[in-house]
Amino acid sequence: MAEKRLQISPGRVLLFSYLFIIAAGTFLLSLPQSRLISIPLIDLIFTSASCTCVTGIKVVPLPYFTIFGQSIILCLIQLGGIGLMTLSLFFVSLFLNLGMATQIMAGEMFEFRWSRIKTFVAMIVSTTFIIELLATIYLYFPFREMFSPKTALFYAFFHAVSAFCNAGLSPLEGGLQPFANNTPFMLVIALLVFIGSIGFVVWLEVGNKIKRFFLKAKHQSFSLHTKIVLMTTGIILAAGTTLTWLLEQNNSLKDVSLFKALFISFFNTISLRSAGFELFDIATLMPATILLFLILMYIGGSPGSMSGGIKTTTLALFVTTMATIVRNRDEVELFGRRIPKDQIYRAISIIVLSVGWIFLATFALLVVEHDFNFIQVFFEVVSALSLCGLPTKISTSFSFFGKVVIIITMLLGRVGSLTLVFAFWARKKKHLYHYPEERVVIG
Amino acid sequence: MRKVAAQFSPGRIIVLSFLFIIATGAFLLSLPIARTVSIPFIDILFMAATSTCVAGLSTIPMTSFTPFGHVIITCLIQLGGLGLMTFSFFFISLFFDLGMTTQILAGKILDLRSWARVKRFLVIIFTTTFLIELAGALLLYMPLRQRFPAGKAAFYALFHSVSAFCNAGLDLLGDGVTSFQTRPLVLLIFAALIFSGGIGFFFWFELANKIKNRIITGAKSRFSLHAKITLSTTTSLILVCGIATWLLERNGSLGHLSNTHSFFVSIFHAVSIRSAGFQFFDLSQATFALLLLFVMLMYIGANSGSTGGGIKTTTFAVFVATIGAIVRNRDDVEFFGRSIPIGQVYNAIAIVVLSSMWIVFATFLLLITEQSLSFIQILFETVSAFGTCGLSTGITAQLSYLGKVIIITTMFVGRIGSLTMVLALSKTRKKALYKYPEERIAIG
Repeated sequence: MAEKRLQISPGRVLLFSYLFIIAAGTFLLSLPQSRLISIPLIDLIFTSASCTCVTGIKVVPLPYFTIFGQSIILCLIQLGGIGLMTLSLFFVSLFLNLGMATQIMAGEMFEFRWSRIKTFVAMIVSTTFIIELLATIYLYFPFREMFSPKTALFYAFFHAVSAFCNAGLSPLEGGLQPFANNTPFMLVIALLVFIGSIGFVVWLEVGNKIKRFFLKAKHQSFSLHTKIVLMTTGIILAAGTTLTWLLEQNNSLKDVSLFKALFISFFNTISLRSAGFELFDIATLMPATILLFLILMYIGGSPGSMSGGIKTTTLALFVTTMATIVRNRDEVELFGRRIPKDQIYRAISIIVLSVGWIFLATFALLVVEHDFNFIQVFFEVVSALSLCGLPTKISTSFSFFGKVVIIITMLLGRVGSLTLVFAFWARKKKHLYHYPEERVVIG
Repeated sequence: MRKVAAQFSPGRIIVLSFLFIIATGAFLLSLPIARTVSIPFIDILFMAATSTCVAGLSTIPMTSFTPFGHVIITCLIQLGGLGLMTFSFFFISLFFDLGMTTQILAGKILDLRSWARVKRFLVIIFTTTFLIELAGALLLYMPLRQRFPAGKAAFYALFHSVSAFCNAGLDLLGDGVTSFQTRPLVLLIFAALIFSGGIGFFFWFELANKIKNRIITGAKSRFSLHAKITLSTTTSLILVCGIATWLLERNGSLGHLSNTHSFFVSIFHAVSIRSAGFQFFDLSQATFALLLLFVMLMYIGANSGSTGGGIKTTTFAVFVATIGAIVRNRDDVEFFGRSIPIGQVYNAIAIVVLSSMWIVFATFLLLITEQSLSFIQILFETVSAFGTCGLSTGITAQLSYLGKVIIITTMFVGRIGSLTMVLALSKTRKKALYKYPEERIAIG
């Protein structure tokens, strides 16, 4: 009995629930009433996986599905996005509980408790729906100018969910291009993407802070996590916007006003971090900009959010660790706090394993797909792993094997890093022996 | 007085001496007797840097230099190759001394201690190098004699022997060793020279010691951990890359050769790609998958204490083992029944990360300065310069002025970067007298 329970590790629960949703989604999409034309099975699986992993790479244009099919896609996105958030909250809180003894010893009590998890899940779900509802109402008006009320309402809801869950899918033919000049519209989309990618811990703490401000309660400082997330996100947004603008001002942004150019760069930086709504035509970009985009996609959003990528905190820890090594210090420190060793190891291994997978997948794709050049394939893999799904439109022409590689990459991108975190969380087996040390020559 | 000595840290000595050699080389090459045509200064500087850093990328054909120029280039390669080898030997043995107490505690004494012995080892390094290069030159003379008059063949043999042993990969033939594709023996000589230069003198010493012990006392001595890691990593890299090359290119770039010949070419090319960069076949037709594989091999490079570049096999092995240890939830990074000291693990991580960052940074800059080239060409060029490999997809000559400067810097960083970093990091750690409280964050 005990053995059986052990087999159901958090990582497995996560993986199997995703596989189950993808399978169910594929089945529903394959029903005749959900599509207008016949679509090969691999493309249905691809679409289902892409939605559930909130990636947004499409191999089949969404207009090929009926409204029923598009509603299924919407449900998949919602399930995929919110599912991950609650699951990760659930596991992370378990995980934090494990460290209770240490917490008490350190004289601190952490507030996540079993009884509170239910409250948190309810909060996440309700916040999500409220935000999506507000956004739908707002987005309804611009859509109303082009479509009938019913269609406009559906599109507004679809875009709100798609943006908030960082999927970046759009059922419209040209994506969001027709709205490129509607700054308030784009701003709302950007805001949705941003909130979706910042993570529930930050929502909670910022919410608390606002509450305390209005109640005139005692000032409470942010946790280390929130500080790191806010700082890293701020730096990435500022740097991404500035660099995109600098690189593209004489290229694709040549003909627009300064304000507009800055806004497009800003929107892109936010969107790239995991959603993948596009305002640029990738084909017209400078190669250096594409490399910049790759890096932004790879970093992604923050933990406990709808977004993918290696996450901002992982990057922050990694960079700080390098600085610590170079400065010959023993402890990795941020904002006057010490980072536990196991978290540093986790951050390093997430980065290394993800880079390893990117190269492996790129290599495999280059072997089977001969029609594309290196950067196209590389971009597609990073985009799939970081769940960004910026459309380079090359997945459509991939072979069966190529599509399978991309599907696996998306799945890994969605559950990979979290599973990896849980794997460590398995109680550490202490070995009763050490091998003797021996030096090797390095460098 | 102490202050002056402190300013000349090992890292600085290495940087300054390489800069000095490159400057002198550039000056000599710019003399009218060294060249047949007029060459822009940046290209001369590039040539001097590529020879001294034993990279082997070149922006101008070797025919633009006179035989005198070729002799200077040979000297630069020799100085660059041997120089780094002796430097790293010298400083690392000093560095090992720092860890003396640990060594004694562990019941072992490393015997590179006194100055007297250092001198002896330097002599051994020099003589071995010259003997191997001489043997290589003699062997290469025969095949070259069939094409050139005696004097030219002799010089060419010497040049290529030095270039191969020092892992420079510069050649006077114009097309690498492509023209010897159907002569496995000639390829074998090249591969053997490259291999012995790239395996590192730490390994030579151990091997020599082992043989000596075996003959004199009959006692079997075991290889050190360093030698084991070096050997196993090198062998697996060469085999994997060789076989992958063969599988991918059998019907492509190597399609005109028989299966046996193409197999030999693939394996020997795998030896060459790790840091020498002699071209064994035409890369312009190679698949992207192969280029990506080559990028990784060039990045890993040769072994510590060798004439080759890159992050080095031991760094790579320690890095991979570290990730393995993290994933398997172990505390120690272990190899062959030994654990690696945590300081070295950190060094390995730092080298891998900082070098990757440099590569991404340099690629980014090159993408801005060279807009007509594709991403993989630029990535390949950058990594090739960093790994001092010198294989190119053929774009080196088209680089702009700034692009050349970036590549020169990258070669320089690739050549001395990791060693300087290890030296800088091996300073005694400053202990902070306070600790901040721990706090967890969510990751991943």
